[in-house]
Amino acid sequence: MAILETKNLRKIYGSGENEVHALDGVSISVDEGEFVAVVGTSGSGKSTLLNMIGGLDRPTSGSVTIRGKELLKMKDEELTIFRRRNIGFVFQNYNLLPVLNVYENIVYPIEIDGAKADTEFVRQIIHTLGLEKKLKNMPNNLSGGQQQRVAIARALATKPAIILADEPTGNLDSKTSMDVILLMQAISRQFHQTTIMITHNEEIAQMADRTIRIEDGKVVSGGVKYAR
Amino acid sequence: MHANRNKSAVKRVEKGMMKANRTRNLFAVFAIVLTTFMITTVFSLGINYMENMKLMQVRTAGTTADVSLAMPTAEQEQQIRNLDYVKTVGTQYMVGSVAEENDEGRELSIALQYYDTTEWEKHYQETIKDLEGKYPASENEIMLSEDALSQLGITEPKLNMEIPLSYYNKNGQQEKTFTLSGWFHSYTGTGMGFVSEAYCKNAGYTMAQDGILSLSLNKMPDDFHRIQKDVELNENQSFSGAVSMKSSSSSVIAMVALLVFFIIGSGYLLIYNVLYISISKDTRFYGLMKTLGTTQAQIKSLVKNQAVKFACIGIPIGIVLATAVSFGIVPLVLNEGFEQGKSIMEAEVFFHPSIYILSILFSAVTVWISCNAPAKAAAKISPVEALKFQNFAPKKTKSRNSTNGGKLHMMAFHNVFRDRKRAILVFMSLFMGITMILGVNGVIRSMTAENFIKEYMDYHFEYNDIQFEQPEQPNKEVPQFDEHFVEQIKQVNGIENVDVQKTVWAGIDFDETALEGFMKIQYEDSRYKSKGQSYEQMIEALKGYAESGEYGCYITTLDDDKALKEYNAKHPDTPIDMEAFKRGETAIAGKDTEYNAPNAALVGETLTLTADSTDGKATDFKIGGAFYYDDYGNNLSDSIGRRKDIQIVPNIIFVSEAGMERLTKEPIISAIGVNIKDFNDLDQIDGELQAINSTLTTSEWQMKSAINQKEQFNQMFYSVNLLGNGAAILLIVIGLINFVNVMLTGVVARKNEFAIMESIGTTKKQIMKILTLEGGVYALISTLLIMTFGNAFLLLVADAVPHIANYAVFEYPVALVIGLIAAIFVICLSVPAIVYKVTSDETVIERLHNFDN
Repeated sequence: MAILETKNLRKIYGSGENEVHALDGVSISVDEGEFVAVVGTSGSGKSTLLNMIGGLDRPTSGSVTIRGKELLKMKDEELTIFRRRNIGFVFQNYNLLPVLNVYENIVYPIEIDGAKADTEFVRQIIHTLGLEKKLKNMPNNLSGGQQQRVAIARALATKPAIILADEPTGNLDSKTSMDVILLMQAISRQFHQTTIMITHNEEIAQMADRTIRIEDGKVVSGGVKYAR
Repeated sequence: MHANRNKSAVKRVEKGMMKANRTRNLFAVFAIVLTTFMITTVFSLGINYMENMKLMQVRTAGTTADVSLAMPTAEQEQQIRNLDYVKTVGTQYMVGSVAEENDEGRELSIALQYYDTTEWEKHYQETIKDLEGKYPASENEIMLSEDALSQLGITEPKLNMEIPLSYYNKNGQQEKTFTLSGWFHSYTGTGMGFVSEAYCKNAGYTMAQDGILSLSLNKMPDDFHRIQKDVELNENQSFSGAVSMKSSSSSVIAMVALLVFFIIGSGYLLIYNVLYISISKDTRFYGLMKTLGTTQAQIKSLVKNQAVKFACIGIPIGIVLATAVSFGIVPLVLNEGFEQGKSIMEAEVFFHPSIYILSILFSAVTVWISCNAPAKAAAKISPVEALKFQNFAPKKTKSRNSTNGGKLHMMAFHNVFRDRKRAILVFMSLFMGITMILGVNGVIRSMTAENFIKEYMDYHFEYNDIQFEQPEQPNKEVPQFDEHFVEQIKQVNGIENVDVQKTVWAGIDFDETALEGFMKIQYEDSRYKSKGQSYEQMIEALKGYAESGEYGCYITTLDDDKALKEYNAKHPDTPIDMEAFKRGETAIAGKDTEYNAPNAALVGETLTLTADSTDGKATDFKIGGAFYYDDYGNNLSDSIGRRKDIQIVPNIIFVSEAGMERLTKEPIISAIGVNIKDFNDLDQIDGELQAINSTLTTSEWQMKSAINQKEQFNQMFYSVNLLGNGAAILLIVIGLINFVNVMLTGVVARKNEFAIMESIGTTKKQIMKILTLEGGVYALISTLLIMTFGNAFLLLVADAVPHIANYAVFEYPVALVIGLIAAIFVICLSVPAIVYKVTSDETVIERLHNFDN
């Protein structure tokens, strides 16, 4: 069953001669529990696609449906709340909040939702990501790999419908990169977590269940499961 | 740095940065303009405030000299001239007075004087204005003040016009026609006429008999005490201080120093805050430049060049604005006030170039310091670090043992203190701004008409029966006020208390033994002695008065425990038995002067008094004490005179209510003092009292209303008040701008962080809540600082103001403190959220991208 579906997504920047079609009719669908990689050259539109799916940016036309809800019909505040309950983000530059320690960063999305953290589940994530000894550290005292693991833990903590990872290993060396990807893969399986990851690293893309390839704002292959 | 050709490259970058950051540049320049403007204007207004205050004192005193000595001997004069701490010595001669009635039947009062050149130039000229003509040189020349001219009915004076005068001098009444050599405007309120040295000499005036030496000393009041010790005086001589003695108290110095520090400090912080933010925002950019090979020195000069440019634009604008205000608008407003009669004192605008030099220097140094630290940091940072640089990242905290940091209120709290240095700076600037407002306002508000009246009037309204105030009162006094009248006054709304003073004239039995000590002291200084009569001859004369029932004085009620307590505290050796006095058994004689104290000799003696009333009978009173002039002063009794000018009799005798009862059942109400509860009701109560007054059928009385004093005070203080309030309002504006600035930059600098928070699901509402909470923390802590350290500073101000003007009373500015704290809360709670709303228009991803690049 598709947990995510996009239909005919278009995003046009500028107008007239400067018109750029960042997305040009993208339709994809992702099933629950899938670990999908989106690959493409820089400027192909893969980041734009991810931002649309995450509700961080609005498309010019088309629709995004997550768990049967259409994102574009929501108001800003509604969308923000939907996002924090259903989507976990992992950014290339981690984007941890500098005023909070590791543990507080991880449970932050739960707390701003006014909910109580599922301590058992959070403990499990922390264990899986090997962060037990770093919980009281401030983010600026962690290495890049550690920061990214905190970001992943934060994304997982709310038990989101989808984790969106934008070049999660972009700032990491190759060994750490592989560690992080293996972790993400393991988590995807262990928690049956739907994950969409952007990368331009073919080797990393190979580790996903499926690869969606995008060029010039269009899906070239892998838009639908088993359609490769 | 090597001389190389990359200078132009750096210049190009700088140009680009200046162009790219228009808003930032505007802010930086604005901060510099504001600070320069503030420093210059506040100091120039402040100095003008003080100078005008001094000028006002000097003008109303009519001299700039510190002390004067009348009738000095040649030896004394020589001795004084040789003292090294005496700066200038001028001489004055009182050579006569004009006393005639003008056409309107008004008595003229013009003092005729001769001032020597030193006195005229060094001590007098500064106190007058609009001088026309020159000081009289020949015997028949005269120079008159405008007051004197108008008394004489001359509205359009011309040089060399003839002035016929009839006047008195030491040789009796004189008639003489002078020619007018000049005129001027004076502020003493009395008519002044000046004549030449030739006139003075020819009329036979001498220093020892008619002269006054007036001296400026180096350091008041220390030298005043010194000269009293150094120069031996004759019995009747004393040094008198001309201008109210101001002592430079350490609390005044501390207060002024702190105020200047606060003003400069908040100016510094205003510039620093803006530059710090604008430069640290660019740190990533500098890191990038470094990556591309720009050297540390180049980055430093890049930062500093920009700051110098801001300063070059900002400082001149600030100076020009300040000049426009201090020398354009302010004098205009002051003049307007003068012309409309709101002010009787023309303000002088003083130009102090030092203010300009200091302001420019200060602003330049501030810009330099505030760009120096971030420039260094920007230059030193490693390229990789710079690229990752985030504003306000906590640098020291490595870990924190907490799990609730994600709660909104905790985040707000941590946000305030994430960068300790900055938090301290912020609180310093907020605290300094507000405290300086409170301090300056405290000083200015302490000098009010209300306090002035408290110091110089005993009551808001004073009724006096003028029959009791005469040097001689041949007829028995007719009561002017009655109990019904007093009752009517008591009924007026807003009256706090009504003091009624009752007086009766009483004969004193001429008991030679009881009066002996008193009379012996009096004789030494009496006209009997100066006329060559013996002590015995004087006794005979006094006996004559006693036989005809004229030997006596006014007996008046004293119903003031406080005065007695103060007396007992001041004179522990000769205490007054308060209980005996209150029971009416004893009386107090007054008043003695410093150089002879005859009344003190009466203490312990018993006088027999017989009131001049229908029930008057001989009543014994033991004299329980004697007042010196300084011991007791009350406007109700101070002006009490005599029935018969007999010198050798107590001036006045005080008894209690019970004492008066023993003396007579029908004393006369001689004076009424009325105090009101709320000074703001003064005008209204004055009106009601005037209405009651009109019911009186008698006319030998007068009422002194504080309303006249208030008007006079307000007219006198119009210009200084304007200057002071101008400075105070400016400070309030600057202080609040500082607050807004701090709150604003705090949000703008964290734009990216808020984008992150939004991207992971924090709603705008929640962010605004954090910001509002943060503002609350700022407001709370600022309030706390104001209530503690701010109040401590106000204590210092309270201690200092009485040294600035003796009537100044510091009053805690409750309304202002509440108002400012309210303003602080409004700003802190609203500005961050508003700024966030305005700056978060772009979508989350756009803002995140701005952050990345």
